[in-house]
Amino acid sequence: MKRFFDFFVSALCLVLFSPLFLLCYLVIKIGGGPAIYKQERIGKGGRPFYIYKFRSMKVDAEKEGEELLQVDNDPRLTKIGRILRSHHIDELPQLWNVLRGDMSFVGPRPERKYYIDQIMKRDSRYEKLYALRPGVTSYATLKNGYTDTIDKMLVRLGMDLYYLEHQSLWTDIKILLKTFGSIVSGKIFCISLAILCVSNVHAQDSLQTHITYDLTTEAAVGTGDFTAYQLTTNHHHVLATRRNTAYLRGAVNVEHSFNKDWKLSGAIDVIGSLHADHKAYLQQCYANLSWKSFFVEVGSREQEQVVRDPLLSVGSFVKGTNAKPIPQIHIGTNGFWNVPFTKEWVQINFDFGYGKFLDNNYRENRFREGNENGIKNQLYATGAYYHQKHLYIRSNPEKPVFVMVGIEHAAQFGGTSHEYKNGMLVAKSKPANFKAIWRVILPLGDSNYFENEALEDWVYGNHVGVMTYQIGWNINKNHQVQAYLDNPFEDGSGIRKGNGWDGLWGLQYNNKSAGRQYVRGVVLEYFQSTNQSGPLHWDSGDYPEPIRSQITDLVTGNDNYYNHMFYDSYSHYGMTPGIGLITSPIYNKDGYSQFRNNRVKAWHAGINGEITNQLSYLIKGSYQEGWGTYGAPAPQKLHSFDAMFQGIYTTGPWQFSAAYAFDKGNVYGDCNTFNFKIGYHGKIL
Amino acid sequence: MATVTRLTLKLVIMARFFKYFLFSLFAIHFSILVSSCQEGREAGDLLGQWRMDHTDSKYISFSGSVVWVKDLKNCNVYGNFQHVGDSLFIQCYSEKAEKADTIMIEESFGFKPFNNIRLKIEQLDNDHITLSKNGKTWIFNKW
Repeated sequence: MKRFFDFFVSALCLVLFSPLFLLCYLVIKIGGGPAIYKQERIGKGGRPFYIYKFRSMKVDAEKEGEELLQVDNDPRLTKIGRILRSHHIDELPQLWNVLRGDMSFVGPRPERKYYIDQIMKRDSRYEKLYALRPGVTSYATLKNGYTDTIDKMLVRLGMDLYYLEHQSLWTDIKILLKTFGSIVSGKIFCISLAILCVSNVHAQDSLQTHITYDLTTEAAVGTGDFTAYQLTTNHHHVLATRRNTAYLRGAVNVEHSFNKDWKLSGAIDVIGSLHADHKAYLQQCYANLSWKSFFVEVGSREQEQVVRDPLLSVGSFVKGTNAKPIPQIHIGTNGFWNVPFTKEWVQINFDFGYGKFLDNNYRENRFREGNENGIKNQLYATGAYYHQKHLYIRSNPEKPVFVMVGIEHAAQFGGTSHEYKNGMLVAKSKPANFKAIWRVILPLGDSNYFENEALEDWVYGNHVGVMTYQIGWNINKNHQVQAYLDNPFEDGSGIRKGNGWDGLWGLQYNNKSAGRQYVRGVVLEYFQSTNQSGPLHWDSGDYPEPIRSQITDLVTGNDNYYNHMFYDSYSHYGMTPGIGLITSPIYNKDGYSQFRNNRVKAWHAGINGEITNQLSYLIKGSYQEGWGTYGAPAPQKLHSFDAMFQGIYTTGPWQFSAAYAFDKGNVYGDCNTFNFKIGYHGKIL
Repeated sequence: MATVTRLTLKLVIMARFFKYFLFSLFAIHFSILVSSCQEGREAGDLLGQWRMDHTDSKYISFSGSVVWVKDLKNCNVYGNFQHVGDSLFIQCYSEKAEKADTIMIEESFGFKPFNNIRLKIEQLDNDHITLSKNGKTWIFNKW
């Protein structure tokens, strides 16, 4: 938990403070000499590591003679170094040490070996501190300040040992808050804050900073077991799947442009719900630093569909918009980027990142709930990490004919699986180290998986992907038609197109005319996931002799989309991050934790437009048939017809919508839902 | 300087023809994709999972040259199969040489003998397969 907190908060801070980093770097550099100072310190387990700081002393201050202690009014400090030191800003680069895992935010300050030897001669208990990751701040630093004598170091040791015995998350939070308080109480900080406020007032004039907020409330009432499918799908799991539910949502969005190329933005978005799995949830919290067409982003954010229509399509097989956002750190392009030297003929959209699933408790509860209902869930996974990427290449969509090819890929890796074996719940963990991070980029595996009793490691991690082929025709400057195929894969057999006609086959019409248009867009789609590279998977390497040599053919199939023998399911809080037509585990009323119906054929249509300049509409519907999974076929063929009709009225910052949606069949049951939504978009700055 | 000029020239030429390259790439990829959408390999029309008529637990699946017979209330067995004309030959293998596997195939499904099953395909279409032997008939539905 602590490491997880350290990793994400340090990553977030690195992005947030990047302008300050740049400023400090330039100021020190202008003064001459290197801006970053590194020194060997002793870390967890007695292992040495390099600690990074902004240089606050004159160059070569410690070159001659023995290593010197820090003292008040140290003559070796530079002018700027004195300011940095007094506000602890010189410690900022240690965020990098925290991100790497050398250090934690809270823990005993790391010392040089020279001083550790001195302390150990007088008090050997220092060795106990090797059990902890050293910290950026500590209980002792708050109480004792900087240490400039061995005697003070011994006092500090006593405090560090006290911390060692009394450490907890709450203690750490208190230490962090007090440290923050001591920083912001500094004179320079207050002056800087005042300058920032004044500059922001000027920024308001030049429109460099925008602070806005969104308030939304939505209610869904009706009959049946669930809120109708079309109302909940592709909405980032904001509206609960339970019937008769409501929420209130508030978000603050900040955007600051440094110049025409650099932009920093972020948001905090909180939801409070009634009759939902999550009564209160931090839906979004992110910081995004953009330079021209590229960005680096940290945190949870509702990512939009990359190429599918967000309102009308059923969505992407891999990176759809069904599940709550998965927090991640990622880099990519803002939309499509024109590749230089191609005269805008080639455009690229990519994203690459790593994150972590947050639904550990949900999975465990679901597992136990199912077993209490006699379902015999086999396993649940906790602590899984997330990797995602996509790359789309297209020709210029302004030309009469254009094409696009692309790939999306996501994987679960690391974490722990808790599986019933011989009546016992056995935990098995997977590494999430640099090697693992590398291995999930391309689905590589363990060639000795059978000997290592790790069948799940023939490919490391749970992978899902989709390859896209799309062609478009601009009939004229306002009307466009596109045809596409999103071809899914879970492993090599899918990549080799062994899964027949599986995929999302679509036709899309867009009307780009200005003003009111009765028809703004139309989507017709067919989705199939029944083949899955055939009904069975036979690889002799998975079995012992004598059967291994009796059946010699290699048949890779039974891909079992979204389900996995180690990670249980590709889901987040029970919802698939992929396509909603494969019914998410959250709809399993008995607590079954996997996707029960991943072999489906579905037909979908969506249309939207404007009736007046302020009143628009959205109609969409799907009919699907399902056969369960190959491993556990449905006793009866599943079918469902799900449709919705929505009207949206927009006036100024207000938006009102009313909708009716229904499900009919044996997937969600027969549900009727009336839905009302009010939204307000306000501006603070 | 000359190298830079040559490189720039190459890039300009590449850019000029890139659109053709991109369209060709798309066309080749899509052709391969559609032409490879043929299902079945050696299994041909047998490919897929079939459920025995009037049950919800007995299934037989074909892919490549491998067959998978399973009873959800019992156990499952792998084997090889050959489809010659209207004849179907199946050789089942037991992973742990368990008696239950043989009982499932020979008594629950009625396919005998366990490691040398010979059946006649009476009818085969997209949705149904009818097998027979010695006057006994089995009907399976695509599932």
